[in-house]
Amino acid sequence: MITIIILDSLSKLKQERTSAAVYHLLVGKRSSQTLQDAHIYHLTGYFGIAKGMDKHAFDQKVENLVSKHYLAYRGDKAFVTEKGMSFLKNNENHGFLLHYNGLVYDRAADLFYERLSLFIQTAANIKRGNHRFIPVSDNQEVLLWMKKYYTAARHRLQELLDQLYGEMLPFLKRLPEQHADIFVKRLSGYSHFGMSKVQLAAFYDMDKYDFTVLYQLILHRMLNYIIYDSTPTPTLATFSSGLVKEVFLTDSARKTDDLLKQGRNVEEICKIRRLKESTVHDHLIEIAYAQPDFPLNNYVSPDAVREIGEQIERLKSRKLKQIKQALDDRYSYLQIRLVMAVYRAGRRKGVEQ
Amino acid sequence: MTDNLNKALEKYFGHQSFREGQREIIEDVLQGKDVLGILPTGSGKSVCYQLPARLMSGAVLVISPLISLMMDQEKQLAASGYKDVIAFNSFLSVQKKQDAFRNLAAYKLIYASPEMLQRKGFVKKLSELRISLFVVDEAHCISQWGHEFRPDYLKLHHIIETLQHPPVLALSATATPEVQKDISFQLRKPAMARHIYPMDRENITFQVDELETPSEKIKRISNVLKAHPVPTMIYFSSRNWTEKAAAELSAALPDMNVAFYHGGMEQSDRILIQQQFMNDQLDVICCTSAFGMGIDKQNIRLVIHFHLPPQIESFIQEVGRAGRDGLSSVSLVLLSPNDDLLPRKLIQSELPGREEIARVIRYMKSRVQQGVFRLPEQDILLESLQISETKWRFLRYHFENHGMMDNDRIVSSFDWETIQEKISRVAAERTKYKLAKVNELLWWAEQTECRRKALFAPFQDTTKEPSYHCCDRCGFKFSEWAPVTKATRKSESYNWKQALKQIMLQGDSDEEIKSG
Repeated sequence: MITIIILDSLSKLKQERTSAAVYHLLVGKRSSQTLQDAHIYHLTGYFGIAKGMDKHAFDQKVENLVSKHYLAYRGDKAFVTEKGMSFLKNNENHGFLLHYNGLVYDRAADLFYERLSLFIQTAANIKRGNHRFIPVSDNQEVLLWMKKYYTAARHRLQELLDQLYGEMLPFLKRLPEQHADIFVKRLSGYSHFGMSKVQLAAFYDMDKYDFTVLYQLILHRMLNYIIYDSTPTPTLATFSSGLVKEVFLTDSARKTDDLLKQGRNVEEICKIRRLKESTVHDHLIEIAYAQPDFPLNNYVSPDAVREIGEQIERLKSRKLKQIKQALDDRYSYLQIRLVMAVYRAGRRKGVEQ
Repeated sequence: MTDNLNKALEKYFGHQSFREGQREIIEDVLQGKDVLGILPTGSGKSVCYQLPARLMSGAVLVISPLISLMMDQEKQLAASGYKDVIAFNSFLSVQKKQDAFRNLAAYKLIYASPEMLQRKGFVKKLSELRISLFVVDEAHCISQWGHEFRPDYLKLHHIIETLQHPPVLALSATATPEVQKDISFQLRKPAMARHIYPMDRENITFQVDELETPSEKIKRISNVLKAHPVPTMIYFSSRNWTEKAAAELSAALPDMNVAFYHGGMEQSDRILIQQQFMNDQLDVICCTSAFGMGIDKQNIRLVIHFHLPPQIESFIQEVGRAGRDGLSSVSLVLLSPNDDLLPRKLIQSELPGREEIARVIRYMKSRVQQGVFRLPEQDILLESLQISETKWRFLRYHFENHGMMDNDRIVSSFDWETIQEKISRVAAERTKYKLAKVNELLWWAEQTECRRKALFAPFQDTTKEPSYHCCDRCGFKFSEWAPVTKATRKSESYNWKQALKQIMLQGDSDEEIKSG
C-alpha cells in the first residue's frame, strides 16, 4: 500500500520536488512548505498517514522502487517510469487511494478510534458486571471526554452498543474482508483485549508501514462514512464530533490569522510576534489555502490576479521562478503564491462540492 | 485492633488476610512510628501505605522514582474506584496538574517523583496540607551503594523537615544491610522500627545454562517451552532483541502466543500487549526491563534471562515476578561469551566521561563570564550540551553539592578546575562501582555452590527451605519439572461478524462468551 502511495505522490509532484517532500507529507510535518505542497499537488489526503516512520525506512522504500525500475532519477528528483505508472494504475489497492483524507482527519482519526474503542470496552465490561478493568486508552484527553459521555450514557449502555453495532455493520460489510477483520480484531471487549497493530501486521505478514497506512485507510473510510455518506450514523457521529476541523492551520499560522482578523497588517504582526517577514508571508499562504474567503485583493489587485492566473495556467508549472520571470518580475513571490493558493483552493472547492 | 485491620483490608482491598510483614508494618505506621520495611518483590508493599491512607486522617505522600509504577498504581486504584489518588510526574498534563494543585486537599494518596519535590511551589502547597505519612518507595535509591542511586533522594530529609516531621515509612525490596543503614542515616531517622523480611521465595527454582551463541539460546528456549508451555517472561537488554526473538519463537512455537514489549512501542499497543499478557491471552512475552513494573500477574511460571540485568538487585526483582501464586516456578538464566559487553556499554553511557564534564564546565564558565547566571530550560540545555538526561542529573547534583548551583542558577564563579577534577573522580568511581556490580552477577552465575544461597548471601544470613526444587547445582533438572500449566487457546478460524457480535454483546452469540 505505502509503495503505491509513494508512487502516486511522486507522479503528482511532477519532478518539481524531491522525494523528501513526500516523506514530510506522510509523517505529517506541520510546516508551511509541506502544507503548501499538499495543496498545490493535490496530496492533502496523504498528510500524516504514516506518522512515526523514520527517514531511513522511507528512503529504503524509494530505493526499492528504483531497483524495480518503477522510479528513476533525473538529477536529484525522482520520477515515475512508464512501468511504474502501469504498476500503480493496475494495483489492486489503487482504488482505495482516493479515500484518504489526511489533512482533514489529522489527529482526529486516532482520537476518534480511541474514544470509540474505549466506549465499547467500557460498555461491554460494565454490562457484564465488571467494574474493574484497565482502560485501553490512557490518553487524558480521551478519558476526560469519556467521563462526560459516560455520565449521560450510563443508563442506556446496551442501547448504545446496539445502535453502534447497527451503524458499524453496513460500513464494515463494504470493506474488503481483510480490512473488516483488522478493524474488529483490534477491538477490546469484556475480558478480552484486542490485537496490537504490531501483532496484526505480523499476522497478515505485512510491512510495518504498509500496515500503518492501511490502518489509517480504514479509519479515514469510517470517518468519511460518518460525515459524507447518506446512511444515517447519529451514534457514531457523537464519537467524531468536535474532532474534525474544517480549517487546518499550524498553531503559529493560527496566531497570525487571529491578528489579521483584528485588523493588524503584516508589518505590525512581525513586530508583535517578533517574526521575520518571510515567516508571516508563509502564514498568509497557509491561510489562503485553508480559507476560501481569504481577502486576496488586500495583497494583489484584481487585474494582477487575472494576469498571474493566466500565466500559471499557460505554463502549467508550479515553479515560482519560472512564473515570476514570465511576468517580467513585476510581481513579488508573495503575490504569485497567494494567487496560486486562492486559485487552487477555490477550484478544489468547486470540484468537490 | 487486629480484628479491625483485617476488616479494613477486606473492605478496601478485598483480601482475606495480610501477607508476610504487612500487618506488622501497618501497625507501627498507625502508631506514628518511623518505619523501615524490606519486603520481597510481589509481597504487596503498596498495601503498607495504601491501607493507612484509608484509615488515617490527612493525606499520605508517596515518593517514587518509577513513573510507570506510579501510573500503574494510580490506574489500578482508579479501576477499583478510588478517585482520590493523584500521581505528579512529567506525564501529567499542565491542565491536570493545575487542577490537582488547586484541589490538593481533596486527595488521600499523593504520588510524586523526587524531581517534583525540587519545586518550591509544590512543597509549599504540600506543607499547607496535613501529611499524615511520608512514604519513601524504592528507598534503596537514597544510597550511593544502592543499585539505582538517585541524587534527588538525598534531599528528602529537608522536605521531611519542611513538612514538620510526619511519620516516615521507607520501603524497599532489595537493600543490603549496608544500604539499610544508609537509608535511615540519609533520612536523619536513626530510630526507625525495622521490619526486614527475607527476599528469597521458596517456590522459585534457579537454573543457569551456558551456551555458545544467541541462536543457541533461542533454540534452548523453544525446547523448554515445547516441553513446558507455561506463562513466561523473557528479559532482554535491547529492544531489537525482543522483536527478533519474538518473531523466531513465534515461528518455532506455532501453538503458543508470543509477543514483544518495549518502551519504544506506540502507547496504545503497549496497553494492549500488557493486558493480553495479564489476561492470559499471551503465553510468552519478550521484553525489556520496561515491562513488569507494577505488574501483578499471579501465574507466571518461568522467567528467562536472555541477557542479564546490570546488577543482582534487578535480577532478584525480575525473577520475583514468577510464581506469585506460590506454585512451582523457574528462573532460567542463559549465558554466552561476551554477555557482559552490553551492560558495560550501558553503564558507560549513563555516567559522564572526562571530556563531557569538561565540556559542561566550560559551558557554565562561559555563561558566567557573559554575566548570565540562569540556565536555559532542561530540553534546550541538554540539546546544546549534547548530553543525556541521566548524565545531567548526575552533574547537576554534584554542582549543587559543591554550591555551584541553586535552583537552575549558577552561583557566581568558582575554582572550576578543582571542581572538574573532583567530579571526574566521583564519576570514575561510580563507573567502577557499577562495573563491579555487573561482575558480581556474572560471578554468581559461574559459582559451583547452591545458587539460592549464593544469590541471597549479600542480603540475608539464611535462606528458606525450597518448597519444590532448589537449583541446578542442587540437582534440579527441567525434565523433572511438572508445573501447573494454563495455555492460551489459539483460535483457528476467524469470522469478524461473529467476533463483533460477541464484543458488542449482540444477540445469541452473546451467551458463548466465557466468563473470565
